[in-house]
Amino acid sequence: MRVLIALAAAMLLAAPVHAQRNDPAGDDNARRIFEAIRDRIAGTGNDDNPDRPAQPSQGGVIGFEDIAPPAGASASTGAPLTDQYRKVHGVSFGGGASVHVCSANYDVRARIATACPYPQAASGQRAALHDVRAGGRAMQISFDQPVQSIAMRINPTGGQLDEEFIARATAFDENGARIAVSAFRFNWYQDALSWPTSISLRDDKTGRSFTRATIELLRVAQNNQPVRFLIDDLAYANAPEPALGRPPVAAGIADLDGPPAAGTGVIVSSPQIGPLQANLQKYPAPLRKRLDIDWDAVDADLAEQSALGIAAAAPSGRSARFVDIAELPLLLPTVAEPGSLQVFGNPDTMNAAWRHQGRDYGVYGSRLVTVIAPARGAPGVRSAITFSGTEDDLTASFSLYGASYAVTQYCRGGARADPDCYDRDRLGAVVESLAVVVGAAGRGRP
Amino acid sequence: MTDLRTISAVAAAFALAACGQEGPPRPGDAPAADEPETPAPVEEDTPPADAEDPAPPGSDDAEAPPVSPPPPAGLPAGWDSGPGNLLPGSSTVKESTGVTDPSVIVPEMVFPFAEGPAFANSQLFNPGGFGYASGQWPGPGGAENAAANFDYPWRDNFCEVRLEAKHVTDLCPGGRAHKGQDLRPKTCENAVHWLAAPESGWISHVGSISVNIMGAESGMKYKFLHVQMPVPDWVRTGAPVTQGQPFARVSNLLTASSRATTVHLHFEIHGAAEVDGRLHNGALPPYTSLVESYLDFTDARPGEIAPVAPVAADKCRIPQWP
Repeated sequence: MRVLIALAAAMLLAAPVHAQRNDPAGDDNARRIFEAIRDRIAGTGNDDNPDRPAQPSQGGVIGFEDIAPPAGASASTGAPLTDQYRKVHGVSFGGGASVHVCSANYDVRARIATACPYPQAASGQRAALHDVRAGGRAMQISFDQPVQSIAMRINPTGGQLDEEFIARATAFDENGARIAVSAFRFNWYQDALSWPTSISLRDDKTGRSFTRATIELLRVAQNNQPVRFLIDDLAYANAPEPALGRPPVAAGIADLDGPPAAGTGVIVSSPQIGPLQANLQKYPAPLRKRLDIDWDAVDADLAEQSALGIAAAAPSGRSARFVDIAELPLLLPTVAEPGSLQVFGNPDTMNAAWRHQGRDYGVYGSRLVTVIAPARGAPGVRSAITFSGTEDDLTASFSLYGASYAVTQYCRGGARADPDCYDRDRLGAVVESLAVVVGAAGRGRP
Repeated sequence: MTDLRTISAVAAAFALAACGQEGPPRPGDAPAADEPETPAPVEEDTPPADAEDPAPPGSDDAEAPPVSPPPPAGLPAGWDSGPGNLLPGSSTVKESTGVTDPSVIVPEMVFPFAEGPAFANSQLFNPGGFGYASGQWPGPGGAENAAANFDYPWRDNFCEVRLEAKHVTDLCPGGRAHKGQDLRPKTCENAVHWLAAPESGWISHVGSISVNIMGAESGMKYKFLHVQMPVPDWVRTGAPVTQGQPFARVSNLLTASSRATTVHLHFEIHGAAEVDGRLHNGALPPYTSLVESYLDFTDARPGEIAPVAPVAADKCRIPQWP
């Protein structure tokens, strides 16, 4: 039960919210900002000093200052960045990251001998590079202890003046599930002395922690192709302990937050995540619409049902509460084997599953539609009822009360063993026997 | 039984619709859905795509700083053939085009295999497949374990030819089609490769060879067909699942008692859609959602991108029965 409650809570609160900003107003001195963050966690000892013990319950800042290329290696190749910070910070890097010295570092051939073309890093002299040619689209950062928030400065290795880039950070939980995305556009400008762009990632609304993050930089002019980039001073905050209250690094990050600089930043709020994220990906986001419900028609049918003494079967135990969160009319059976009717869904969609006379049935309903263009030569929607199926079921789909529904009868042991499962008359009788139900949220006529 | 006006109106429409459409297949009919297969001319590999780096500051020629060239990584260029780009000869229309709308139906989902690599291609029209309708749409035959089946590029086959009444769809030429995407796991080994929940949500049905999952966030319904049976005990209607959670293994089951297909997942996304201004409720094209989720998957697991050496053909048929 605890699992189900947690899942339902996650569903209601699912919207990961994160914020990031470009140049903190009036303060583009990256080093000072990160020093401020460092100050906030003073005493935790989580700087680059490997001799100090880690206190991962609070957080830390990694400045990449203590990593140097192996003796004899070319400065241009940098030093591989993998698990050097794991012992102290519990932080590992993947995806082919490396550490480079940032200074206008020219060799005898007058070529840049470092992948960091800036005179200075966000702090200190070194920064971490992710090269898409070495490690794929994203830098991978793993945390042995769950973290609640991270922040870093991010810079392209170059670009055209005012060229547009997108920075994106994605958080994953220990199961690999994506729980938060932070993304925004910014225009790069050739200020090699400061790193004005920072990105932070946290789940403001639910406070869920994460154990892995991916960082990407996308070049808008190249159809959002991932390109290589530098980060410096990775700050992280572990899940806060109650006694500590607000985690210090999160507080530091909050200092960086605020209204984004005009034209350069977007604060991502939960409803925008899907579309924005898809915008950043290879293919575009879907256009979704929420349908209007014809509540008058619902009320008329409810009244008629009542007059006839028709009532839906009772959903089993816990699933009844999903009736109450539904903001669309539910279609439920009037007869079902005892305890077999289960209802689940979210405010805009419903699913009911039950068994009757040894056969499984299901109703799926939604008031959320995706707009899609059919293939050329497709017939489009031709009739009020559409039948379709698979090896395992027959489904009738239709519109009712302004929403869209599909009723399925499942084959017992597969279609070959149960030819009746393709019987449309039988399925029609099931549709006809359904009762309309409105829960607490639906009574609010959303 | 109700005689409610609205539901009755639906029921009446139901009866009319039932009269006007072909009957469903019966035992003895031609084998259903995904059966034979067909090979497909597979595009030659192209060099891996390297995203061009921006120019360093102060440079006008956009040349990247000279970093030692690392080994190629990531997905090969051209690995994704694009939405609606069916294998030539696998469609009812000469152009072999399907739904080209690139919209990602479910940006929220994660890749439905628990391990990689995986390959979206036709099980009827790739090697080991024998086409459709007794050769009217011929397949290449051959062996299921052919390397081409377990290599890139990916191919959309949502609108691949199917003629049976149960394959009705509003979205594809001719009004009938495959309605899903075939995905092969890393190898043809049967009942080995785990499937993963695309979203947190609930098991909405367990069938004879299928598992359905309803996503709590998107509200979409995911249908997994050709699932090895029996599934783990906890996989039952109403059970909660977590995004990415392995829940069953992929198999070559065509029915509960027949292993007449190849080892592959037939993956469907069901939901409501607006098509040319009218409501559609049923299978939606999953290809671009799979592409995006695979990009995320391979980002996180770059070691699971490259095809592996083919396994012996007999491995594809073990076990013989559930």
